[in-house]
Amino acid sequence: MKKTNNLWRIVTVISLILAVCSLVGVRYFGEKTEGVEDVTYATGNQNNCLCYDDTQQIMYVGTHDNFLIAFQEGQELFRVSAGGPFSEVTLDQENHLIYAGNEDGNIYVYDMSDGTLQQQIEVQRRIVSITVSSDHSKVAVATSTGSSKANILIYSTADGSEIANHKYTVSIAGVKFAEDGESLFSVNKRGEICRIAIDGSELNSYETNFAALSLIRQNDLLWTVCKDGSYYALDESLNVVRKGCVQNTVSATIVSIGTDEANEHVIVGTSEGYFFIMNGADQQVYMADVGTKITGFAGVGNEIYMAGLADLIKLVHVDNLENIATNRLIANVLRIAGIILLSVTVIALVMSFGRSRSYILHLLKEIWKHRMAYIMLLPTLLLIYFFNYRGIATAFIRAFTNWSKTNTSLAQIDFVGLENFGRMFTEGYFLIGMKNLVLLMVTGIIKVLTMPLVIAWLVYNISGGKRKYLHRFLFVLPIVVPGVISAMTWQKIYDPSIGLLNEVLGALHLESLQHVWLGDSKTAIWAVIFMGFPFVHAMAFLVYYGGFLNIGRDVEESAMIDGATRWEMFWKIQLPLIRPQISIMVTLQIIGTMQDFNSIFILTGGGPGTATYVPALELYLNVAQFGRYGYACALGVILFVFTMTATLISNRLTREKE
Amino acid sequence: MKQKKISQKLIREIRFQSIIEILMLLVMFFAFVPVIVMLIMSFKTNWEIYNDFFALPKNIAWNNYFVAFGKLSTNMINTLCVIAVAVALTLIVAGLSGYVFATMEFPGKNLIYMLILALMMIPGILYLAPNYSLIQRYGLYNTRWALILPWISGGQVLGILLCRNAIEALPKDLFEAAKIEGCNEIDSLVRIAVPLAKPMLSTIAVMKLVDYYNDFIWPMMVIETNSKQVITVAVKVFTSSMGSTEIGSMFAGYVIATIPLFILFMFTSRLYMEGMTAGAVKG
Repeated sequence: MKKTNNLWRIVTVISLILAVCSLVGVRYFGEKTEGVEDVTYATGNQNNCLCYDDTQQIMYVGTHDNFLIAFQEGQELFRVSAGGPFSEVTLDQENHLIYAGNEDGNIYVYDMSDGTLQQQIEVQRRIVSITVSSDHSKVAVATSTGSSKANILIYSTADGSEIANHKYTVSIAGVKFAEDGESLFSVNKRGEICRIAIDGSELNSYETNFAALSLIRQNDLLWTVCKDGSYYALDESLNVVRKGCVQNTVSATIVSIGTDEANEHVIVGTSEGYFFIMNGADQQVYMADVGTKITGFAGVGNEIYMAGLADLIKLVHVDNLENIATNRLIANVLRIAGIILLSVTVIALVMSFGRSRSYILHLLKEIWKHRMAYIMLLPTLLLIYFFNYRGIATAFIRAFTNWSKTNTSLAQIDFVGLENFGRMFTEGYFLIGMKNLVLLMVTGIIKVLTMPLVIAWLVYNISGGKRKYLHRFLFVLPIVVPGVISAMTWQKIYDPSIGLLNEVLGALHLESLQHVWLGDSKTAIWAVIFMGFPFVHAMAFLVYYGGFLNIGRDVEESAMIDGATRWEMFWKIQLPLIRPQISIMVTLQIIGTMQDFNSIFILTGGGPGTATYVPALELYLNVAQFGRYGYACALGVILFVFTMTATLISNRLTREKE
Repeated sequence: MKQKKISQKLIREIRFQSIIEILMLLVMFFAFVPVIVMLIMSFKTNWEIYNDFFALPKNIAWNNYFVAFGKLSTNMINTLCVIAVAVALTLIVAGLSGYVFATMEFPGKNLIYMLILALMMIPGILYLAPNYSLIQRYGLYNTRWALILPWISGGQVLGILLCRNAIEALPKDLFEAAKIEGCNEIDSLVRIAVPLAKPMLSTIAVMKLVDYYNDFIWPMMVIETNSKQVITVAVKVFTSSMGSTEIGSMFAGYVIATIPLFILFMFTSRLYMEGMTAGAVKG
């Protein structure tokens, strides 16, 4: 006995050590599955383009809301503003200048370290791309006016005078100077990559099959990406050095391209927020979604900074990405191993005490004897684990974290305390939603307690079985219209110009009462409540009707003999006897109102403004549109608590009356 | 004297019956207004709707239905197939578990049963975000399984309860006799429990079919491709794309989306109503 105890204790210790090892391993490899990292600074604006100065380690960010911001070591250095979005920024490190092309039609030249404006060249056209020759004597821009008018303009940097102006009838996506400074490369929507001389004559060209969307220069190579996701690297004589194509399985709209400094990894961005990373052999190694249009890249060493049309700058460790799949696999294997080892530890610990061992053995024997029951329950258990309880546990835990569409991996998710719950009160949508929810709840309970009950009583009092059946059938029949369809029909009934409601008012010469029912924030919530008139809730009707049937004729007959009228009988006998049914319907109504937002989604979408918001709708929007999962979980927890409280109160109230 | 009293009572009864009949007809009329609007509008041309709102359609505009059906037919077929699979799987899962809970004793039985029943009280919206991310993480996003699996998981709960009650109501010695005859559990489930619990299984089937058919938000979230989309979402998309140009076709779309449930109701109205109240009465 003692020997077995000791044996089990040894097993406990060993498995515990192994479990700890594997969990440490999970952490180690888990961190290495992160190839995309947030940077420590934020612009607070919609970022449009990036440029990095490696001599002073300054990151320049041009934003869509007219700012050019410089960061050094995570601190904002300066910010300057212009009349339009900054489309592209390029550096002249020798003279310490930033050349910024702006959509307001100006080239702005700033000092690199303090942002003082050195020069402003008027182009008078929307600049889409800018480039400076390697001897810094010329600056060229590609501009666009309308969809098919484009220009390439070349200026002297010395005095800002125009050297050349070439007109094109196809829009140009990018322009870059050649090394010699006497010719330029440009890409256009026809998919042509051309080398043109200063005087505009075409020296050379290469044709791709789809519209070229972006042109960048990284050291000695030119990179362009086309609409179909194919990308090309060309040298100065327009020989294709590399080409490949992203596996755009999500059919996202390609917009931008970037590379690391060694021209090895290629990153392609889309307007949906997906980005694709290709390795040196042009194989796709990674794809992810940041949720917002990816507008620009800056390759620094073997890392690439990425800017998105939101307050988004991320650092992509491209070389990490290749091993992500392996690391993730190892982390997962270790995680499973860790869980198994931990359970072995617990079992071994229990087994190392004689008495608990015999109990466990007995239980195991019992379980083994009834294994058939567990096997048959397996589908149910697996389903409720994966789709219910796991979700419930996640919701409760992650309600306290910054979990979101972009923070998905364990390494990115951090506990933020009660921040999500605090947000409900600071953002305001939740409070408006609660006000509406209370209104909907009260009217919903009134609705379920009145019309269905009246109709059930009327149908119950019909003489003649066939007539009774027919009426019951007809009152339930409208339920065949799916809820969503019914909501859409009601939306049309409320339509201001061809809606039944306004037409009827017009026909009755009550034009003064006509209204944009769903478009006015005063009436919208009432229109939502009024939907479904005359509120013969089919389920409540059937349940009450069943309740009346259950009472039995003899109770009524004896009451009749005592001289009770139908009215008295309803209040004194029938109503008290169907209290359980009423209680259930009220409970179901509470649960339903809390989480149902289908009809609001269709009728108003929460609008106008926020007039018909409810918390459930806010929760949905946070999941499906804003991707703020942590906040959605917090809303879910609050709704859960409210549902439970309301249910308990309603049960308590009905019980007390009994 | 006695006769007079009886006839007075009769008159009162007739008067009562006519009053309630009038009341009920009034309510019924209003309850059917949306359905009537839907039907009439679906047969009118745009011109008729804008110029003479209340008139009945002069020439029945069947074209509305051709347009709507052309857009929605794939979604309709898809919806019915997905629902058929989901309902069948729900019945299997609920039948298995209901049988286990009704006939077997094993350690942890009550705990597991309570865990299942508790799901009826927990609002599903609580785990909307976790489930949405789960679907994406396991590559189920934009597949039909993203609909079917969560549907079964939630749909089985009431099914298990109803199956358990139905099978428990069967005489115990039936199963004991079968066991003595050498039937194993699966045999006695398939050969005894299922045939005898058929009425309950059909109620569950109808109830779940209606439930799944009505689902809207979840399919909208997890299905992207139109050919895999369910009818309710497809109709919504169709409506938005029509704007105010093809109002008749839009309503025709609503009618088309209603037809399957209407047919179901016509043929199985008793089961349909039973299924509707089963949750409240037996839960």
